[in-house]
Amino acid sequence: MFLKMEKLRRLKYKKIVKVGENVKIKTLAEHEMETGVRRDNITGVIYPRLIIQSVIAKYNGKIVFKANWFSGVSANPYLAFYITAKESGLIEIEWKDDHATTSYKRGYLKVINEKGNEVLPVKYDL
Amino acid sequence: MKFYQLNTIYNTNLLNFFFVCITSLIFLKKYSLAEDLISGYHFSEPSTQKIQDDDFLNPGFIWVENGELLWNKKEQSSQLSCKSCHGAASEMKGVALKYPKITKKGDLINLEQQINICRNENMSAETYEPESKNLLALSVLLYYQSRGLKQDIKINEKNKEYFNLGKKLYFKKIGQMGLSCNQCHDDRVGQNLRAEKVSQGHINGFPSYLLRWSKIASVHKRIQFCNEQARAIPFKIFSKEYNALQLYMTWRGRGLKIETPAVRK
Repeated sequence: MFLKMEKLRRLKYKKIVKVGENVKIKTLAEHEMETGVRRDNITGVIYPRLIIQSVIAKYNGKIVFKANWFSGVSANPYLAFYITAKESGLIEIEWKDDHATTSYKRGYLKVINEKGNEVLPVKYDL
Repeated sequence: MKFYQLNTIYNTNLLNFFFVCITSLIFLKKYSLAEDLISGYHFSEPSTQKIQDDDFLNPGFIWVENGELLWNKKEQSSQLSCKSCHGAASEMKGVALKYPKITKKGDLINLEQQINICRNENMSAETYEPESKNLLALSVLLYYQSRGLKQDIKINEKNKEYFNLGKKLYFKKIGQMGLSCNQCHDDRVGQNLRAEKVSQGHINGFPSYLLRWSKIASVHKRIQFCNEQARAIPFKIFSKEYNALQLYMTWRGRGLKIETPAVRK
Protein backbone atom coordinates (compact mmCIF):
# COMPACT_ATOMS: atom_id res chain seq x y z
CA MET A 1 0.00 0.00 0.00
CA PHE A 2 2.88 2.35 0.79
CA LEU A 3 4.60 2.26 -2.57
CA LYS A 4 4.27 -0.34 -5.26
CA MET A 5 7.94 -0.22 -6.16
CA GLU A 6 10.70 -2.15 -4.38
CA LYS A 7 11.63 -1.31 -0.85
CA LEU A 8 14.63 0.81 -0.25
CA ARG A 9 18.11 -0.73 0.00
CA ARG A 10 21.23 1.28 0.64
CA LEU A 11 24.94 0.63 0.14
CA LYS A 12 27.76 3.05 0.86
CA TYR A 13 31.56 2.82 0.96
CA LYS A 14 34.66 4.74 -0.07
CA LYS A 15 34.74 4.50 -3.87
CA ILE A 16 38.50 4.77 -4.54
CA VAL A 17 40.92 3.06 -2.12
CA LYS A 18 44.57 1.96 -2.00
CA VAL A 19 45.79 -1.65 -2.03
CA GLY A 20 45.64 -3.29 1.41
CA GLU A 21 43.31 -0.66 2.86
CA ASN A 22 40.45 -1.75 5.09
CA VAL A 23 37.17 -0.58 3.57
CA LYS A 24 34.10 -0.08 5.73
CA ILE A 25 30.96 -1.16 3.89
CA LYS A 26 27.69 0.16 5.25
CA THR A 27 24.28 -1.23 4.35
CA LEU A 28 20.74 -0.37 5.33
CA ALA A 29 17.54 -2.19 4.40
CA GLU A 30 14.01 -0.93 4.76
CA HIS A 31 12.07 -3.74 6.40
CA GLU A 32 9.38 -4.12 9.05
CA MET A 33 11.01 -7.22 10.65
CA GLU A 34 7.74 -8.59 12.03
CA THR A 35 8.75 -10.87 14.93
CA GLY A 36 5.74 -13.21 14.90
CA VAL A 37 4.84 -12.39 18.49
CA ARG A 38 2.79 -9.20 18.17
CA ARG A 39 -1.00 -9.26 18.16
CA ASP A 40 -3.50 -6.99 16.48
CA ASN A 41 -5.04 -4.71 19.10
CA ILE A 42 -8.66 -5.15 18.00
CA THR A 43 -8.95 -8.67 16.59
CA GLY A 44 -6.20 -10.41 18.59
CA VAL A 45 -4.80 -12.16 15.55
CA ILE A 46 -1.04 -12.80 15.61
CA TYR A 47 0.86 -11.16 12.76
CA PRO A 48 2.87 -13.86 10.94
CA ARG A 49 6.63 -13.70 11.16
CA LEU A 50 8.36 -11.87 8.33
CA ILE A 51 12.03 -11.04 8.76
CA ILE A 52 15.21 -10.88 6.72
CA GLN A 53 16.83 -14.27 7.25
CA SER A 54 20.27 -13.78 5.81
CA VAL A 55 22.55 -11.18 4.33
CA ILE A 56 25.30 -12.25 1.96
CA ALA A 57 28.12 -10.01 0.75
CA LYS A 58 30.21 -10.89 -2.29
CA TYR A 59 33.45 -9.34 -3.47
CA ASN A 60 34.29 -10.27 -7.05
CA GLY A 61 31.98 -13.27 -6.85
CA LYS A 62 33.44 -14.69 -3.65
CA ILE A 63 31.48 -14.61 -0.40
CA VAL A 64 33.32 -12.39 2.08
CA PHE A 65 30.62 -11.90 4.69
CA LYS A 66 27.46 -13.73 5.72
CA ALA A 67 25.00 -13.11 8.53
CA ASN A 68 22.05 -15.20 9.69
CA TRP A 69 19.42 -13.12 11.43
CA PHE A 70 16.62 -14.08 13.81
CA SER A 71 13.60 -12.30 15.24
CA GLY A 72 15.59 -10.13 17.66
CA VAL A 73 16.93 -7.81 14.97
CA SER A 74 15.34 -4.36 14.90
CA ALA A 75 13.29 -2.85 12.09
CA ASN A 76 15.17 -1.12 9.26
CA PRO A 77 18.40 -3.00 10.10
CA TYR A 78 21.80 -1.38 9.61
CA LEU A 79 24.85 -3.55 9.01
CA ALA A 80 28.49 -2.57 8.60
CA PHE A 81 31.59 -4.69 8.06
CA TYR A 82 35.18 -4.38 6.82
CA ILE A 83 36.91 -5.97 3.86
CA THR A 84 40.52 -5.70 2.73
CA ALA A 85 40.91 -4.24 -0.73
CA LYS A 86 43.10 -6.31 -3.04
CA GLU A 87 41.86 -5.57 -6.54
CA SER A 88 39.07 -3.52 -8.07
CA GLY A 89 35.82 -5.28 -8.62
CA LEU A 90 32.15 -5.69 -7.89
CA ILE A 91 30.61 -5.57 -4.42
CA GLU A 92 27.21 -7.23 -4.18
CA ILE A 93 24.90 -7.42 -1.19
CA GLU A 94 21.95 -9.81 -1.11
CA TRP A 95 19.09 -9.71 1.40
CA LYS A 96 16.96 -12.84 1.72
CA ASP A 97 13.43 -12.75 3.14
CA ASP A 98 11.25 -15.31 4.95
CA HIS A 99 9.28 -15.66 1.70
CA ALA A 100 12.61 -16.39 -0.04
CA THR A 101 12.33 -13.15 -1.97
CA THR A 102 15.71 -11.59 -2.52
CA SER A 103 16.83 -8.06 -3.20
CA TYR A 104 20.21 -6.90 -4.40
CA LYS A 105 22.38 -3.86 -4.33
CA ARG A 106 25.72 -3.62 -6.09
CA GLY A 107 28.53 -1.20 -6.67
CA TYR A 108 32.03 -0.92 -8.13
CA LEU A 109 35.13 -0.57 -5.95
CA LYS A 110 38.20 1.00 -7.54
CA VAL A 111 41.55 -0.02 -6.08
CA ILE A 112 44.78 1.82 -6.98
CA ASN A 113 48.40 0.95 -6.23
CA GLU A 114 51.20 3.29 -5.11
CA LYS A 115 51.84 4.56 -8.64
CA GLY A 116 48.20 5.52 -9.06
CA ASN A 117 47.30 2.80 -11.54
CA GLU A 118 44.22 0.68 -11.12
CA VAL A 119 44.69 -2.91 -9.96
CA LEU A 120 42.47 -5.01 -12.21
CA PRO A 121 41.26 -8.49 -11.22
CA VAL A 122 42.27 -9.89 -14.67
CA LYS A 123 45.94 -9.76 -15.57
CA TYR A 124 46.98 -9.15 -19.16
CA ASP A 125 50.24 -8.70 -21.08
CA LEU A 126 50.72 -6.67 -24.19
CA MET B 1 57.10 35.95 59.48
CA LYS B 2 54.42 38.63 59.53
CA PHE B 3 54.50 38.88 55.81
CA TYR B 4 54.08 35.13 55.49
CA GLN B 5 50.98 35.12 57.76
CA LEU B 6 49.38 37.91 55.82
CA ASN B 7 49.96 36.07 52.62
CA THR B 8 48.23 32.91 53.88
CA ILE B 9 45.17 34.85 55.01
CA TYR B 10 44.96 36.47 51.62
CA ASN B 11 45.22 33.05 49.93
CA THR B 12 42.40 31.46 51.92
CA ASN B 13 40.17 34.44 51.22
CA LEU B 14 40.87 34.12 47.53
CA LEU B 15 40.10 30.40 47.63
CA ASN B 16 36.84 31.10 49.44
CA PHE B 17 35.94 33.71 46.89
CA PHE B 18 36.48 31.25 44.01
CA PHE B 19 34.55 28.54 45.83
CA VAL B 20 31.55 30.83 46.28
CA CYS B 21 31.77 31.90 42.65
CA ILE B 22 31.83 28.34 41.32
CA THR B 23 29.03 27.07 43.56
CA SER B 24 26.83 30.03 42.68
CA LEU B 25 27.51 29.41 38.98
CA ILE B 26 26.51 25.76 39.33
CA PHE B 27 23.41 26.80 41.29
CA LEU B 28 22.45 29.33 38.65
CA LYS B 29 23.05 26.84 35.85
CA LYS B 30 20.88 24.23 37.54
CA TYR B 31 17.91 26.45 38.21
CA SER B 32 17.98 28.51 35.06
CA LEU B 33 17.91 25.35 32.95
CA ALA B 34 14.21 25.64 32.30
CA GLU B 35 14.62 29.15 30.93
CA ASP B 36 17.19 28.31 28.26
CA LEU B 37 15.97 26.44 25.25
CA ILE B 38 17.47 22.97 25.03
CA SER B 39 16.62 20.63 22.19
CA GLY B 40 15.50 17.09 22.93
CA TYR B 41 18.70 15.93 21.22
CA HIS B 42 20.74 16.80 24.32
CA PHE B 43 18.52 14.74 26.62
CA SER B 44 18.81 11.53 24.60
CA GLU B 45 21.54 8.94 25.08
CA PRO B 46 24.87 9.15 23.19
CA SER B 47 24.01 6.03 21.17
CA THR B 48 20.78 7.68 20.01
CA GLN B 49 22.59 10.92 19.20
CA LYS B 50 25.03 8.94 17.07
CA ILE B 51 22.18 7.61 14.91
CA GLN B 52 20.86 11.11 14.34
CA ASP B 53 24.27 12.55 13.43
CA ASP B 54 24.86 10.12 10.58
CA ASP B 55 22.47 10.63 7.67
CA PHE B 56 23.14 7.13 6.37
CA LEU B 57 22.40 5.45 9.70
CA ASN B 58 19.29 7.52 10.38
CA PRO B 59 16.24 5.45 9.35
CA GLY B 60 14.17 8.63 9.05
CA PHE B 61 15.82 9.23 5.69
CA ILE B 62 13.91 6.27 4.27
CA TRP B 63 10.81 8.44 4.69
CA VAL B 64 12.57 11.42 3.09
CA GLU B 65 13.52 9.41 0.02
CA ASN B 66 10.08 7.84 -0.30
CA GLY B 67 8.56 11.30 0.09
CA GLU B 68 10.65 12.51 -2.82
CA LEU B 69 9.24 9.71 -4.99
CA LEU B 70 5.69 10.67 -3.98
CA TRP B 71 6.41 14.35 -4.67
CA ASN B 72 7.22 13.58 -8.31
CA LYS B 73 4.51 10.95 -8.83
CA LYS B 74 1.64 12.01 -11.11
CA GLU B 75 -1.93 11.21 -10.04
CA GLN B 76 -3.98 9.38 -12.64
CA SER B 77 -7.16 11.40 -12.13
CA SER B 78 -5.70 14.83 -12.85
CA GLN B 79 -2.25 14.07 -14.33
CA LEU B 80 -0.80 16.43 -11.72
CA SER B 81 1.94 15.91 -9.19
CA CYS B 82 3.09 18.13 -6.32
CA LYS B 83 6.06 19.07 -8.51
CA SER B 84 3.91 20.47 -11.34
CA CYS B 85 2.63 23.31 -9.13
CA HIS B 86 5.33 23.80 -6.48
CA GLY B 87 8.48 22.90 -8.42
CA ALA B 88 11.23 20.78 -6.93
CA ALA B 89 11.02 19.83 -3.28
CA SER B 90 14.18 21.82 -2.48
CA GLU B 91 12.32 25.03 -3.32
CA MET B 92 9.99 24.50 -0.35
CA LYS B 93 12.64 25.74 2.09
CA GLY B 94 11.09 27.52 5.06
CA VAL B 95 7.50 26.65 4.15
CA ALA B 96 7.05 24.23 7.05
CA LEU B 97 7.94 26.95 9.56
CA LYS B 98 4.66 28.79 8.91
CA TYR B 99 2.51 25.93 10.19
CA PRO B 100 0.12 25.55 12.08
CA LYS B 101 -1.62 28.17 9.99
CA ILE B 102 -5.01 29.87 9.81
CA THR B 103 -7.07 29.14 6.69
CA LYS B 104 -9.40 31.56 4.93
CA LYS B 105 -12.32 30.01 6.80
CA GLY B 106 -10.64 30.75 10.11
CA ASP B 107 -9.67 27.20 11.14
CA LEU B 108 -6.24 26.27 12.38
CA ILE B 109 -4.58 23.51 10.35
CA ASN B 110 -1.17 21.88 10.37
CA LEU B 111 1.02 20.81 7.47
CA GLU B 112 -0.39 17.29 7.16
CA GLN B 113 -3.95 18.62 6.88
CA GLN B 114 -2.75 21.11 4.25
CA ILE B 115 -1.31 18.22 2.19
CA ASN B 116 -4.68 16.45 2.33
CA ILE B 117 -6.57 19.64 1.38
CA CYS B 118 -4.19 20.20 -1.53
CA ARG B 119 -4.71 16.64 -2.74
CA ASN B 120 -8.48 16.82 -2.43
CA GLU B 121 -9.10 20.23 -4.01
CA ASN B 122 -6.33 20.70 -6.54
CA MET B 123 -5.29 17.19 -7.55
CA SER B 124 -8.74 15.55 -7.14
CA ALA B 125 -7.07 12.55 -5.53
CA GLU B 126 -8.02 10.59 -2.45
CA THR B 127 -6.83 11.95 0.89
CA TYR B 128 -4.37 10.04 3.03
CA GLU B 129 -5.39 8.69 6.40
CA PRO B 130 -3.85 10.29 9.49
CA GLU B 131 -0.57 8.59 10.57
CA SER B 132 -0.35 6.76 7.24
CA LYS B 133 3.11 6.23 5.79
CA ASN B 134 2.50 8.26 2.64
CA LEU B 135 1.28 11.32 4.54
CA LEU B 136 4.19 11.22 6.96
CA ALA B 137 6.68 10.74 4.12
CA LEU B 138 5.51 13.98 2.47
CA SER B 139 5.40 15.78 5.81
CA VAL B 140 8.94 14.69 6.72
CA LEU B 141 10.19 15.72 3.26
CA LEU B 142 8.80 19.24 3.70
CA TYR B 143 10.12 19.67 7.24
CA TYR B 144 13.50 18.29 6.13
CA GLN B 145 13.85 21.13 3.59
CA SER B 146 13.94 23.67 6.41
CA ARG B 147 16.40 21.72 8.55
CA GLY B 148 18.80 24.11 10.29
CA LEU B 149 16.42 27.07 10.15
CA LYS B 150 15.08 28.50 13.37
CA GLN B 151 11.53 27.98 14.54
CA ASP B 152 9.83 31.33 14.21
CA ILE B 153 6.06 31.63 14.43
CA LYS B 154 4.27 34.91 14.92
CA ILE B 155 1.22 35.41 17.10
CA ASN B 156 -1.22 37.92 15.65
CA GLU B 157 -4.88 38.74 16.06
CA LYS B 158 -5.97 35.92 13.76
CA ASN B 159 -4.45 33.03 15.68
CA LYS B 160 -4.47 34.58 19.15
CA GLU B 161 -7.68 32.76 20.07
CA TYR B 162 -6.11 29.39 19.29
CA PHE B 163 -2.87 30.41 20.98
CA ASN B 164 -4.74 31.13 24.22
CA LEU B 165 -6.52 27.78 23.98
CA GLY B 166 -3.19 26.00 23.53
CA LYS B 167 -1.67 27.83 26.47
CA LYS B 168 -4.66 26.90 28.61
CA LEU B 169 -4.32 23.23 27.64
CA TYR B 170 -0.60 23.29 28.39
CA PHE B 171 -1.22 24.35 32.00
CA LYS B 172 -4.39 22.28 32.52
CA LYS B 173 -4.24 19.28 34.85
CA ILE B 174 -5.64 16.16 33.18
CA GLY B 175 -6.16 12.46 33.69
CA GLN B 176 -6.15 10.13 36.65
CA MET B 177 -2.69 11.34 37.63
CA GLY B 178 -3.72 14.99 37.58
CA LEU B 179 -0.68 16.04 35.59
CA SER B 180 -0.22 19.08 33.41
CA CYS B 181 2.43 19.51 30.73
CA ASN B 182 4.36 22.19 32.61
CA GLN B 183 4.82 20.07 35.74
CA CYS B 184 7.28 17.83 33.90
CA HIS B 185 8.56 19.88 30.98
CA ASP B 186 9.12 23.14 32.89
CA ASP B 187 9.59 22.25 36.56
CA ARG B 188 11.33 18.86 36.42
CA VAL B 189 13.62 19.24 33.43
CA GLY B 190 16.67 16.96 33.51
CA GLN B 191 15.33 14.69 36.25
CA ASN B 192 14.84 10.98 35.80
CA LEU B 193 11.49 9.57 34.78
CA ARG B 194 12.15 5.85 35.10
CA ALA B 195 14.93 5.19 32.58
CA GLU B 196 14.51 8.45 30.71
CA LYS B 197 15.51 12.05 31.22
CA VAL B 198 12.66 14.54 31.20
CA SER B 199 13.15 16.86 28.24
CA GLN B 200 11.77 20.33 27.75
CA GLY B 201 9.16 18.98 25.38
CA HIS B 202 10.13 20.93 22.28
CA ILE B 203 8.85 19.74 18.93
CA ASN B 204 11.70 20.97 16.72
CA GLY B 205 12.60 17.41 15.69
CA PHE B 206 9.14 16.28 14.72
CA PRO B 207 7.99 14.33 12.75
CA SER B 208 10.82 12.22 14.16
CA TYR B 209 11.86 8.57 14.13
CA LEU B 210 10.90 6.94 17.44
CA LEU B 211 12.97 3.89 18.34
CA ARG B 212 10.18 2.45 20.50
CA TRP B 213 7.81 2.09 17.54
CA SER B 214 10.55 1.88 14.90
CA LYS B 215 8.73 4.33 12.66
CA ILE B 216 8.12 8.02 12.13
CA ALA B 217 5.58 9.62 14.46
CA SER B 218 3.87 12.98 14.04
CA VAL B 219 3.49 15.60 16.78
CA HIS B 220 -0.14 14.71 17.41
CA LYS B 221 0.62 11.01 17.79
CA ARG B 222 3.38 11.79 20.28
CA ILE B 223 1.10 14.04 22.36
CA GLN B 224 -1.54 11.29 22.31
CA PHE B 225 1.07 8.91 23.74
CA CYS B 226 2.03 11.48 26.37
CA ASN B 227 -1.63 11.82 27.38
CA GLU B 228 -2.02 8.07 27.69
CA GLN B 229 0.94 8.02 30.11
CA ALA B 230 -0.92 10.50 32.33
CA ARG B 231 -3.99 8.23 32.10
CA ALA B 232 -6.05 10.82 30.30
CA ILE B 233 -8.38 10.33 27.34
CA PRO B 234 -6.49 11.71 24.34
CA PHE B 235 -8.04 13.95 21.69
CA LYS B 236 -8.23 12.83 18.09
CA ILE B 237 -5.43 13.47 15.62
CA PHE B 238 -6.00 16.74 13.68
CA SER B 239 -8.42 17.91 16.36
CA LYS B 240 -8.76 21.61 17.15
CA GLU B 241 -7.19 21.15 20.60
CA TYR B 242 -4.03 19.46 19.36
CA ASN B 243 -3.52 22.04 16.64
CA ALA B 244 -3.81 24.78 19.24
CA LEU B 245 -1.35 22.95 21.48
CA GLN B 246 1.05 22.53 18.56
CA LEU B 247 0.82 26.27 17.88
CA TYR B 248 1.67 27.07 21.50
CA MET B 249 4.55 24.58 21.52
CA THR B 250 6.13 25.94 18.33
CA TRP B 251 5.88 29.43 19.81
CA ARG B 252 7.42 28.16 23.05
CA GLY B 253 10.42 26.72 21.19
CA ARG B 254 10.99 29.74 18.92
CA GLY B 255 14.68 30.13 18.19
CA LEU B 256 15.41 26.39 18.18
CA LYS B 257 16.69 24.83 14.98
CA ILE B 258 14.61 22.28 13.06
CA GLU B 259 16.18 18.78 13.25
CA THR B 260 13.73 16.70 11.21
CA PRO B 261 14.11 13.71 10.82
CA ALA B 262 15.36 13.49 14.39
CA VAL B 263 15.81 10.22 16.28
CA ARG B 264 14.22 9.91 19.72
CA LYS B 265 13.67 7.10 22.13
